[in-house]
Amino acid sequence: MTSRILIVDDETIVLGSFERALTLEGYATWVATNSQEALKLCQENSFDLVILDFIMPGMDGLELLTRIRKQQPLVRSIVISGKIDTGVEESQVSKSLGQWVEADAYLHKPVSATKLKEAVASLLSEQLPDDWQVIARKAVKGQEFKIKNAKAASKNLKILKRKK
Amino acid sequence: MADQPDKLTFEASAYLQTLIGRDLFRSQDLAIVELVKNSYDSGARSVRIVISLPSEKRPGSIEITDDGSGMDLSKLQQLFMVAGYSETGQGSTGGNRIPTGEKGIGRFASDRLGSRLTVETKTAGSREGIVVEIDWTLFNARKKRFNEISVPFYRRTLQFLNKGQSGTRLTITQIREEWASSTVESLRSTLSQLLNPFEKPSNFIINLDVTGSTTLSGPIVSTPIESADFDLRFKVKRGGTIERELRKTPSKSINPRLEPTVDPAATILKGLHGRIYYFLKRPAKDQVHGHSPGVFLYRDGFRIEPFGSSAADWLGIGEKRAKRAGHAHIVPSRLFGFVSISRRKHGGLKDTTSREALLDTAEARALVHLLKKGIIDFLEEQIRTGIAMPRWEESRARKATELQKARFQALNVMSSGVAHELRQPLQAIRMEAGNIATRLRQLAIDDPIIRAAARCIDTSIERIDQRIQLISALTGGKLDANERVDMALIVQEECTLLERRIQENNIDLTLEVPKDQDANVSDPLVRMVVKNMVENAVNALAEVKDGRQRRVAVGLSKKGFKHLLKVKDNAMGIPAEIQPRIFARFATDTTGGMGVGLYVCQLLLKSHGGEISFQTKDRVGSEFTATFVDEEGSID
Repeated sequence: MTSRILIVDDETIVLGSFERALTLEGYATWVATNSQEALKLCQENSFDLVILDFIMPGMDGLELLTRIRKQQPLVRSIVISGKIDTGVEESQVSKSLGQWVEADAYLHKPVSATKLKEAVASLLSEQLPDDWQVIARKAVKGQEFKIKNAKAASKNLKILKRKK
Repeated sequence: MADQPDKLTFEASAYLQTLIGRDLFRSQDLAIVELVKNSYDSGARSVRIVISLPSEKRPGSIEITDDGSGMDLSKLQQLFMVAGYSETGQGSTGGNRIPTGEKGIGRFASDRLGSRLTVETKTAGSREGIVVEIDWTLFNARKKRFNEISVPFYRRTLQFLNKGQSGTRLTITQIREEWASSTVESLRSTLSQLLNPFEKPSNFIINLDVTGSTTLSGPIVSTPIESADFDLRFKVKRGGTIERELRKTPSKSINPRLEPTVDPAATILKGLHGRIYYFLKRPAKDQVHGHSPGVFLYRDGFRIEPFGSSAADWLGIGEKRAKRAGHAHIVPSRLFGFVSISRRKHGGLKDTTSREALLDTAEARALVHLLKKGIIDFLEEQIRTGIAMPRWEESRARKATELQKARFQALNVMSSGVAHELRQPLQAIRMEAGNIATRLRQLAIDDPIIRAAARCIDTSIERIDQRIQLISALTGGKLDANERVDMALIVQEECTLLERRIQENNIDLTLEVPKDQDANVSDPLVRMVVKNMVENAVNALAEVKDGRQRRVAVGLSKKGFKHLLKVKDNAMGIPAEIQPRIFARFATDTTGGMGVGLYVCQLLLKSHGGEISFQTKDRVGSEFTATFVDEEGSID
């Protein structure tokens, strides 16, 4: 089955070039120039992979990834940016960004067509987890602190209600 | 058969004692210093000098008592009674010490102080001590021979030494010159300057007591000077290399270490080191802890006269100031120097018999030249050329730095934005070039010109991106910020990043780096230089088409506070016409070759105190060496 890829970048010329590169490789591609469009497409379709620009107006690539994972926890992800410090090795980018969310791969702009295709092929060849716990963990990856805070807040609310 | 010649022999008149004893030492202080040094050489840990000032009831005396190894009769005869014989001259002395004396005449110095000497000495193993009574006036007889004078000795129990203890006491009576408070103070000052405050001989204490005076009595102390406006430290290393560190207080320099200089004449002074302190205003007493101004010379911790005394002016500082009528920047009364030499390392720096000067040897001349030209003139230059900045100027400079920082921050924000903007079209161009290549392949069009064009676009974009990275690093100030890094790891990482290119060109890469090499340097600068040098080697090897096995060797080592990165290739070497301008901009016109990269690397390294050098041989290869200066480390 043809793999389905969503590409999100606010630069249309970049978006077009990525779309062409992946279409030529035989992938089915969807494109979006902002986060809202991307989230809408995610509600309507399921994707195997999302390629997100890191810097975008309104919502950056990692925040968008967090939201997409809520809908599609198994989606693979690549974050690309011209802003990521190129002195940092791509595999180390998530650490330099503070580890609050983790994409499956990071690429520096300007990435070559060969490197992009290799990264896409490599991620799509990975077996998807079938363990529900792994899937659940992946869905909330980067939001653990929110869950922890929510638990604490609900506990406090209960105490307050009791006092009233 | 040739006649056997008759022989004549030299003999010494008894008057020789007067020459090597009484008349040899300029002052009483120096005579006492000689006797103290003898105590040190005998392994003593403590020496007590007791001066009894003459009164109506009793004549004055000087008593010098030590807890050294003492002498038995045979040692006394061999050591003490033979003029010019010194066990220390043979290099052995008590307490594993480097001997201070080697002339074998120090004991005769007591004649300078008084005409009678009583020696009481005992070794640890003997029950009784030996007492020798010497009347130096007996030696006044010029017609008598030296060995015709005999002195009585007795075996006695010594009250000042218990069983198992050893030591020597010299009691000098019939004092030649009157001792007053001022002479005792002068002696105290001489003794306090006897030991180098920065390299005091271990386990050696001197006490000077004056009977009936608590103010004049007490231990001799020598406290190091801690802070001056200028603190210059130096050391002569192999090959006449002089390492220097200059600290300025209160605004201590961030990196006090200076580029080493080489003085070939100083080669024979290897190991010599010292400190020079200079105060911009006349220092208060508590700032200099009683030290007198001057550049003092110490051998193995003991002062050599007269270097440092105001009358000596051995470095011509006073003379220079007088000639310039007050325009010189070094004022002798604000300069305090402590220069250390060693008997073992600097055998050519020998004293005159009076111990009041050095013999005029090549080493002595090199020493004076080094201190005058390499140290004092250098310090004067530093004072003159604005390290001594007035406060208002410092404040202006600080404001200018802050402004500069603000400008750089703005520039950084701007360049970061520009980098992002530039990378968008670059991304599109690169991706579309790839797309064209893919499409042509799909259409089964395999054209070498199109392939070459696609490759060219890709390489060009790579290069543009490298420049964008460099500009970002420069404007972000990242190249200026030193941090603690493992240089070995950086070299390995950068070489790993280039692995693909190295493999594509069938290059055999050898890494000769230590397991780790800690350094305080600029991380991006090291990465940039490693990357540039290895890439240059790879590019040079890519041009080699004669079938030889292409090789690159990357080596990392440390020399003092310098980190050396060597990249050696076996390519064709650098053409002779390019060599002179290899560090100039656009030295070559080849893509990815030694264009701007090497120029920028050299420029940036030099601004950090380092440099790049190279050696090359036609058709054999080249070796580039980058020197990184560590911000920390010590010249000790």
